Amino acid sequence: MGNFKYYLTLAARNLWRQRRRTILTFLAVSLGLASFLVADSLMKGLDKQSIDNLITLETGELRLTAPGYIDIKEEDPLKKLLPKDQKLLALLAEDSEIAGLAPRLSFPVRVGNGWDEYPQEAVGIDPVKDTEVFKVKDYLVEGRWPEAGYEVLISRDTAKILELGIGDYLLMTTRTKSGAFQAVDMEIVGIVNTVNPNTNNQVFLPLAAAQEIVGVPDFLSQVDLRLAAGVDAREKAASLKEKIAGAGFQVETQPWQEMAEEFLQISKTKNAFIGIFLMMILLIATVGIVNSILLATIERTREIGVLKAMGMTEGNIVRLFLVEAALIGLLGSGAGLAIALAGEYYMVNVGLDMTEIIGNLDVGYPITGLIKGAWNPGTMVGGFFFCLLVCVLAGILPARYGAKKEPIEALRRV
Amino acid sequence: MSLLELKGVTKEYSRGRVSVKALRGIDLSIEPGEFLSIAGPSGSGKSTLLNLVGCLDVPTSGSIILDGEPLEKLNPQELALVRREKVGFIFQTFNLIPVLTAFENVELPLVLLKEDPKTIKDKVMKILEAVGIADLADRRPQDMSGGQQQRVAIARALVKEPKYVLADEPTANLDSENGKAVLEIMREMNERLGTTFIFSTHDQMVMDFAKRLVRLKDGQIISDERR
Repeated sequence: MGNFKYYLTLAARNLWRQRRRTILTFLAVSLGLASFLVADSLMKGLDKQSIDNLITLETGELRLTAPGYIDIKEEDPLKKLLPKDQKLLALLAEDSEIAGLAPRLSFPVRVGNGWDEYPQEAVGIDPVKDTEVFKVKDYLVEGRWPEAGYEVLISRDTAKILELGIGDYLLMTTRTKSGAFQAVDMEIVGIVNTVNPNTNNQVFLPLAAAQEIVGVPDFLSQVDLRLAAGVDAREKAASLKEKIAGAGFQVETQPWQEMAEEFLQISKTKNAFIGIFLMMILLIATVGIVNSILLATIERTREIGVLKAMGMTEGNIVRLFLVEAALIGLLGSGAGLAIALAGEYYMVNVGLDMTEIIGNLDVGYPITGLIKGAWNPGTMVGGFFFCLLVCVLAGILPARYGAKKEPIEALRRV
Repeated sequence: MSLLELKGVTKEYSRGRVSVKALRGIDLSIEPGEFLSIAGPSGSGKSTLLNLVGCLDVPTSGSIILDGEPLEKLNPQELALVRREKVGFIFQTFNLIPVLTAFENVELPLVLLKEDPKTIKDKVMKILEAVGIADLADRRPQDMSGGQQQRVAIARALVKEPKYVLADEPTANLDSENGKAVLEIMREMNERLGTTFIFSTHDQMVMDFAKRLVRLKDGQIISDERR
């Protein structure tokens, strides 16, 4: 203990003696760790927000469709529909692992104001049940939720582009199941602005009106489900399919992870990017420490000779320099952690507003402008100790180089 | 039994293709409590002899026996431990650790010997008082004169009560007044503590202080005079 205290004092004073170099290395370590942690927090936040936006605004946690619907959805979504069977809905409603169910009917439409038009997806919703699964209603910025008849809810962007507002009529054209053209005037009753760009490209109307417009009364595209807390969507998808088949219905079940495959793939790529980032930080820290310790051993050659003459062994000298490396690592990682805490506090509570840059653009993430971070205590603790370890390991080679000097040669150095 | 016994010690340095014989068959016996000066002109082999006796270097041939144990059988790690326990060093240029105070410089050998903090404090203060610089314990080397720094170096060499102290031209960087004071301290310590002192010099004043004077020339002992 006495030895360690002495080494610590000696190391701390030697670092202070070369304070300019120490500060540079300290900054490299601390800023490197801090930027890694903040970037990781942002990426974790992005993932969390994206999954949340996806589930609560787009897919639900689990989707029931008619067999084969998934394969033909893009070409002809009305071709394979699910019968709106009360027995099936009752079966789902009775399941204690299902917290909410939302029957929906989706089909492609062109929406316009009489002059301009552009493609969107129409979603027929059960005005009451839909809110059990989705949070679209929470993002109402004007008007109200569609309740009955030919009422429609559009996004703020659609309203802006088509220069329409509450009380105006939206011209919606589509094809019925039999292929006939259909054009209807829908009264705009509400405007939403959600945080999912995909949802902002949808128009919402009452389910009965949707079924009537495309000529499929008593049919649905899907039943989207919200699961009880702690229920795994993949496992439930498998067990529910079996249970429904047992009751005599043929359905396909799809957990949200399958529906979000594209996004999850991007998320994986992003993790690789974080890995590269980490490698860069480690490289910077390593170069900083190697440089600091190597220069110290060269500048203090004569002192190494004196210490060896006093009876210090090679191991003692290595330890002395490693304490210096560990001190820089400890201070750098500590400061990096403190900076990261401040940065993450800002990211978690305020976030980065990227609205002007990405807005409703599809960048692979179901998210609009405001990106918030997420706390990453595990990464923080791991990053701190890993950075400290890298600093110590980086110090070994130069410390050994210094310690190997013959005392007689070292003492001759002026 | 002699403290140190040198038998036919030679030391040869190779510099490229040139070989330099620094010591050519030294036979020397040093008893405990001696105050011995190794004198000779530059290049006579004084420092080489001191380095060998101080376990900082190994002879090319011959044997050095310390307390009955031949040093040539020891590896670098074992030599370091011999230095730690048995040898004190005083350098011409003091060689104090600049970031440490006088107290901390002096306590270093005791820290390496893992003595307890209270013993360390007592021993350090005692030796600092003995060399007359107890009031400078908290000063760093740059805040002390050359004479004061050399007293710290003497205290550092003596604090662990080594078997012997090696001093390589200890007064060379001091004015005559400070040089004389340092020599008086060394002799007093030799007389009071019985510590063996072996120092190299080419200064007549230093030679006059010695109780035994060994003269070297071209790597050989040319005289060995006891006073």
